[in-house]
Amino acid sequence: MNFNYKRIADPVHGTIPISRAELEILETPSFQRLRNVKQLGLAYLIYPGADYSRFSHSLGACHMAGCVLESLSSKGSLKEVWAGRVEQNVQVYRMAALLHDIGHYPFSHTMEHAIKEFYSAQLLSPQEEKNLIKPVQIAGNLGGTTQSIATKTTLKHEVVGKELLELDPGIQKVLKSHRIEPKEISRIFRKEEGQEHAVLRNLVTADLDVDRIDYLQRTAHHTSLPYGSVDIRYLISQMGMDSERRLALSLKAMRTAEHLLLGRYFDYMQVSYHKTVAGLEWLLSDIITELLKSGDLKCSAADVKDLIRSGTWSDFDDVHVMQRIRTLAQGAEGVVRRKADALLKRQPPFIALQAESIQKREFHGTFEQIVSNMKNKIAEFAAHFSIPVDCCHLWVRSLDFTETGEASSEGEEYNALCEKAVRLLDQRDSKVSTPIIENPSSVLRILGNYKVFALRLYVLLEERDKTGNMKNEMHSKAQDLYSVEMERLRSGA
Amino acid sequence: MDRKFVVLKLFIDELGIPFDIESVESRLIVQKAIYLGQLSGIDLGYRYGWYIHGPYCSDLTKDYYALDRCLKAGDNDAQNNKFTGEVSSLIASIKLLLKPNSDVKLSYWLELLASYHFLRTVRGMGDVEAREIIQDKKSHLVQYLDVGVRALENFGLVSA
Repeated sequence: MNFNYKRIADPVHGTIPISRAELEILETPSFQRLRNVKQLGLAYLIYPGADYSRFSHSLGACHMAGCVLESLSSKGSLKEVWAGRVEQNVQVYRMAALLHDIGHYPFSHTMEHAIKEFYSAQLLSPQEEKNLIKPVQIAGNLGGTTQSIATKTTLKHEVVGKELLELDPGIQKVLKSHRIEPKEISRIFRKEEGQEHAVLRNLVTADLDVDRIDYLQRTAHHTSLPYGSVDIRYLISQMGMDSERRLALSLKAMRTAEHLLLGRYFDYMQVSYHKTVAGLEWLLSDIITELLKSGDLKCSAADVKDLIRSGTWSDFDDVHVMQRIRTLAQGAEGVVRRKADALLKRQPPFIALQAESIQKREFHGTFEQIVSNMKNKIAEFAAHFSIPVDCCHLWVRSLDFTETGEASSEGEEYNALCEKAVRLLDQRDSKVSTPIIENPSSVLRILGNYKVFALRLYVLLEERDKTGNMKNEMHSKAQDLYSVEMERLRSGA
Repeated sequence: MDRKFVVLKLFIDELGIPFDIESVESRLIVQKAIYLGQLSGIDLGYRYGWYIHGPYCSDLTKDYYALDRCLKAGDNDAQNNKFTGEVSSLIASIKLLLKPNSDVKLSYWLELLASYHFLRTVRGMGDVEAREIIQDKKSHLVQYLDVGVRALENFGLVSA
C-alpha cells in the first residue's frame, strides 16, 4: 500500500503524503465541503489568520495518525496486534482521522448547540394537553423512529459523519473500491462498540489524540499565539502501546504531554472563549435560531439525512448559512435585525460584567447557583436600562484541565474517563500504563481537581447607548448584582 | 436550563425512573434506562459503547451531572414543561419494559436488558453468543436471562 501516492503542501507539517484512497476521498464533494467550514468559527474576526478550514485540519490529523502509526510500526508494535494486516489497518486508522470531522455542521459547535436547543424545544408541549396519553401499539413500532419524531430530533456531528460514511454515494464508492468498511472507520472515531477489543482506541478521540495534536499546532500557526507549539516529533517518538492496546507515552515525555494539555487550556481561554469571539458567537447562535424558526434552515435528523441522500449536504457550509443571514438581515426588524447587522458588520456586544476564577471542582454546584440567580436578574437589569431582554446574554463556561475527575472517582465512569486520559507507560513494565493524573509528579494530578469558571454579561447596545456614561452605568449595575450574589454566597444565605 | 436538560429530566421522569445520581448503582440505572428509553424512537442523541457494566455513554454522564447541578441550584425549568402527546405516548410504550416483573433488582434488570440488546443489535451477535458473554461477564444476571430475553422479544426489540 502506497501512502506516498500524492503529496500536499501544508503550512504546519510541510508536505503531507497521502494514499490513493485518501486522495479520492479528498476529491468527493462532501469532503471538499470542509474547505468552507472554518475550524475556529468566528475567531478570524479577532485573529485575521484564524480562518483555516476543517479541510486542512482533517488532512493534518490524517498525517499525524500516519506519523504515530509509523513510529509504532518501527517498534514492532503493530505487527503484534495486526499480524499480516498492518498496512490495511493503518489505512483504516488514517482514514478515520481524515474523516473524523466530515459531519461537522457549518459554524460547528455554535450551530450544533443552537440546533439541539431548537429541536429539543419541539419535543415539548407549550400548552396543557387534555388528551389521555395512549401507549403506541408495541409490536413492530419500537426500535425505529417515527417520521414525525425524526423531524424533532437532531444528530451530533459524529453521527452525521457515520451517516455520511454509509449514505454518501461519493464516499461509499471510494471506500468500496478500496475494500474499506465504513463501520470500521466510524467505530474508531466514535469509540463505539468493541471498546474492550479496539486497538489504539484513543488514537483519534482522547485527551491527547491526533485531532488535538494537529489542532493545537495549526491554531498556534494561524493565530500566532504560542500555545500548541510542542515538540511533536519527540512526542510521537515516545509513543507506545500498552497491553490493552491503548496508545501511551513513555514517562520521559510526561512534561511534553503536560505542555500540550495545558496548551489546550490556554488555547480555549485565548481563542474559543475570547471575549469578542464569544460575544459574536452569541449573536450567531441567536440568528441561527431565527433561521430555524422561519424554516430557512432545516436541520432535524430527518432533514440532515435527506441532505446526505440527495447529495446536497456538500452545499451546506459556512457560506450557505452566511447567505441566509444576509437575506434575513435585509428583511428583519427590531432585535433580530440588530443582531444580524452587528454580526455582519463585526460590531461585538458590550461586556457589562466579566468574572473568572479557578476553583476546585466541587465549586461547580455553587457556580450553578450563582449562574441561576444571575439569570433571574437579567430581566431586572434590562428593565433598568429600558433595553429588550433579548439584547442581554449571560455567557457561562467551565473548563477542565483534564476531563478525568469530572465524574465520581469510582466505577464505570472513572474507567471510561481513564480511557480518554493521557496514559504513561510504566518504567519497569512497558506494557502497563496508567492515566497521567495518577502520576504523583504530574502537575495534572493537581490541576485535574480544578476547573476554570467564567461568566460574562453581554449587552447588544444601540448606537445611542454606546456613550461612555451608559456603559459605565451598566458596568456598575451588573457589578452590583453580581456582588450581591457573592455576598450571599459568603454569608451562606 | 438548556432545553436539552429539560428534555433529559422529563424523559427520565416519564420512564418512571428516579433522577438520582448519588450512587454507582443509581447512575447505572439512569444510564441503562436512557439506553432502553431511546429504543422507543425518541433519539436524545446519546450513543453508547461497551464498558464494564454493559452499554455506557460518557456524554450522558456529563449531561446528568450538569442537570443535577442545575436542579440543586434551584432551576425549576423542567417542572414548567411537558412533552407533546406524541412523545409521551412513545415513552409510555417502552416504560413497561423497564419494570421488572419478578423479584429482580431494578439495576440488574436494566443492566441485563440493555446489555443483551446491545450485544444483539449493536455488536450484531446471535442469541447464543450474546448469552455466552452475559454468562461469562455478568454472572449475577444469568438467572434472569431467559425472562429478560423474552421481554425484549415481546417488545419487538430483538428477534427470537
